[in-house]
Amino acid sequence: MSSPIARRSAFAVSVGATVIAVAVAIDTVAASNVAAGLGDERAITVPTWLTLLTGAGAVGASALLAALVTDRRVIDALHDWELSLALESARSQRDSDAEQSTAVPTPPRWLVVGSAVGSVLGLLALGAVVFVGLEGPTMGTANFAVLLSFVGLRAVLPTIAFLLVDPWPTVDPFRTLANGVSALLERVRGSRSPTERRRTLSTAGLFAYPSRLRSWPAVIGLAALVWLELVLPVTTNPQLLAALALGYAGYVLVGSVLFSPAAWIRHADPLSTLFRLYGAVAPIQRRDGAFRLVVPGSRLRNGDVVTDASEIAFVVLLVWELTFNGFVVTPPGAHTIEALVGSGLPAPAAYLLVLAGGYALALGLYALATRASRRLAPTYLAERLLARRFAPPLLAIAAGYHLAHYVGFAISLAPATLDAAANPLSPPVNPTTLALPGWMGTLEIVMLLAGHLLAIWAAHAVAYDVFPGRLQAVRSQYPFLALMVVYTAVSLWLLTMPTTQPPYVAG
Amino acid sequence: MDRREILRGTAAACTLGVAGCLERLGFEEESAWANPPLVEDRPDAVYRPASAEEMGVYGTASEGDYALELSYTFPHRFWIPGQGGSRVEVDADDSVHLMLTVWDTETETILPVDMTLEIRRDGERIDGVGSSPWPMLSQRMGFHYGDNVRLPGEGEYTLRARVGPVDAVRTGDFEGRLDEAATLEVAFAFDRSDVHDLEFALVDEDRRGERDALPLMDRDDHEDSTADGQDRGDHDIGPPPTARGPAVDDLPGDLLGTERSADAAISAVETRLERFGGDSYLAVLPRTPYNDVVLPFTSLTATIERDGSMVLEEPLSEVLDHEFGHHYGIAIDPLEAGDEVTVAVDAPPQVSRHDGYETAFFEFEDVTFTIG
Repeated sequence: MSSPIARRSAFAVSVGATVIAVAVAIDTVAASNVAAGLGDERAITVPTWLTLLTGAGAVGASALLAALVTDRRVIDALHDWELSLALESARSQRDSDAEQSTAVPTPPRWLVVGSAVGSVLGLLALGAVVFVGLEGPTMGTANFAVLLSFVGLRAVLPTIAFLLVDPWPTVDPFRTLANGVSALLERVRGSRSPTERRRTLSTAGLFAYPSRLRSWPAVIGLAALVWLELVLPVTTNPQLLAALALGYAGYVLVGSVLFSPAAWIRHADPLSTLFRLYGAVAPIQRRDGAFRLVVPGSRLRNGDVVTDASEIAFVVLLVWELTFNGFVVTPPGAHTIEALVGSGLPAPAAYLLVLAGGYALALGLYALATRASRRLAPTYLAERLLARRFAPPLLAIAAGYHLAHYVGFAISLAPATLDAAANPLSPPVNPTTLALPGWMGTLEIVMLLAGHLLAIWAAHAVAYDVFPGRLQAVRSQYPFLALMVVYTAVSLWLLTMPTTQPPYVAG
Repeated sequence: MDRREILRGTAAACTLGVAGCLERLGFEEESAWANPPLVEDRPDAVYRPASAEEMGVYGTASEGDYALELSYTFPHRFWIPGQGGSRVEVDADDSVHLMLTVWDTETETILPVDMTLEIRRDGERIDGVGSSPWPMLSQRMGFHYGDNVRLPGEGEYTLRARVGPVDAVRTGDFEGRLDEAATLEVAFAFDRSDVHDLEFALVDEDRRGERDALPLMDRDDHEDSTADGQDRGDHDIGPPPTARGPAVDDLPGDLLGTERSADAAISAVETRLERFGGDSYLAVLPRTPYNDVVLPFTSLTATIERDGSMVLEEPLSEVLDHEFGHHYGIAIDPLEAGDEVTVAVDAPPQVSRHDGYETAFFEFEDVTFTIG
């Protein structure tokens, strides 16, 4: 459970390897879950011609778009369309009329209640991960802490973030704790009026966050999480998972006290950054407490999604992370790791080397594409600006890839998760999973492809937003298009390969 | 409360819809234990499996000369005998794997025996429990009986097993005993956390598939893993004896040799003990390699050739003897120098196998011992 959770399942029970007990032998369904030790090993049989066709399809669709949709008004209309979700009740409208004298507008009651419920749920979930992790069964597929972390946080929440709306700010228990501790310290330090305190909460750190650090701590944090998830037996050792959850809470708390919750969570918290960026793909966008319905992916055109080099790096890491987790569970990936270990490297270092090396390659290719795009356009705009603007469309690719990897994993472990949730301390000894039908493999490919097509459309819109000339806009996309086609082929190739346990770290 | 109850619960009508929908779309319920790691490229021989499970003891009971121990572990995959073995996967509804060890209290010998069982809850027999447990062979336990069973929930149960009579020929201290059936009962409380507390250990990856076996567990040692609050029944009986047969070198007779066939170690001993009848007696002892566990329910034929002519070709009887333990034997004329004793296996051991034994003990070649 395997396996375990993806081995990994893949739980993998894992639930994995045999995980289950210890691990789950459930090993995975989708490659990255295999990597986590929670899934079943499974091969999707996709003929190579389909792989090629898919790549060609992506190119063709993009070419069509570029050729046909050259009317800026059409593009703008699609990307600027939004519907304000006016969920405020008439009553709260009356309330605000009655309290016109109040300087701060009162948020609608449903939002206040919803936020409170979300915070409580988030705290309960964190408490469950720690408590069940320490006290619950060791078998990953039966341990609610493991299932909540990998099925809930790893698989389902990001899916909600890019398919619906970013739920993380509402439920994030680390943020709730950080804000609470920060407010408490503020009260201890000096009594200010409540309104003043609320106003200063965002700047209430002992030190100012060093702005030159940008969001690099979040990038390093995400890389560390990806690496630890693979090399530590988190799906087979729930105590370790509980310790990691506590460690993460400590990391967010200490940083928040030092540099204020707002700055730390915005720049150094990899989970919040991940959710914020995935949330940019979603059809429901939250801005200033108001919810707006938009065309999915249309926000990726905006210049404020990715604001600096560190966030470009984060986006590229989101894409590479999924590829990496897919790679190490395929035969070529396993051979690579085995070769590195054979040359005398410890297994964790071998994984780190492949993670870092592939990441460097991905960043390099992206930089190369940006440079080529600038020359091809041609334009006097800075490379840095182009890199920043063309990064958000990659989020659509990451979203598609995430879905392809995790949808089967989440469905397969859904019954086990329900069982564990109903009885966290004494779950069934023999958790039920769902075996996936063959058509799931096709669906995964369709999801992957959908992500790529959305990315191509978003890049197209970005190009028309950035460049004044139509020809410029079209030509600027060629390098990114080439990159995406290569990436599509690689992703599909990985998806079509049989998965195995990642060597040396399984179980 | 389990998932089914949740699904059936009114509060979860939505979940029910989703679940029904998923089933129609081809998602099939499967046990998380359905595919525990299996060694790749398994040899047609005994091999070290990918994992080892701990077991817990629910209790023991005795009646007459029979004693029974009921133990439990995670639901388990196993193979029922047949060419290549037919794999029995863990079903999504299986709750636990129950194991029964039956032994003779007088000689402290594990017994191959006819057995039927039922499990009762509140005096009612529960469904879903096969009435005849599988005779089984596992590396950690040796010969025992077992099956994956479906229990309707946590709580108190009573296992009632009807054991006996022993079909094998009984000699020595066994003579005239164990020819009737007895009913033994063990009460137990099924508590999932007891099972979760058992250790499930993966074998080092580079040791999996080796031509070796996990050691038999130390039977005196499992007192610790007895489920909390369980009545161990008659404390006088103690833990069951080892599944290991008596050492062939120490048997009262001449050891003709030990040969490997289908990876089993087959020893032959000629003895003149009177209790076996005839002038002499040929005892054949097929055992597992490494752990020396007896292999019951096997059909064997012995052939003796003297000066080029066949002087005997007879099937062997399955025998229980207090000195020889479980073996197969036949009364013969005394062997002479130059005689060739050939043992053929007509039917392999009719026992189910756990990981590590499922590929061995099937394709037997005849083994021949030449008298020096």
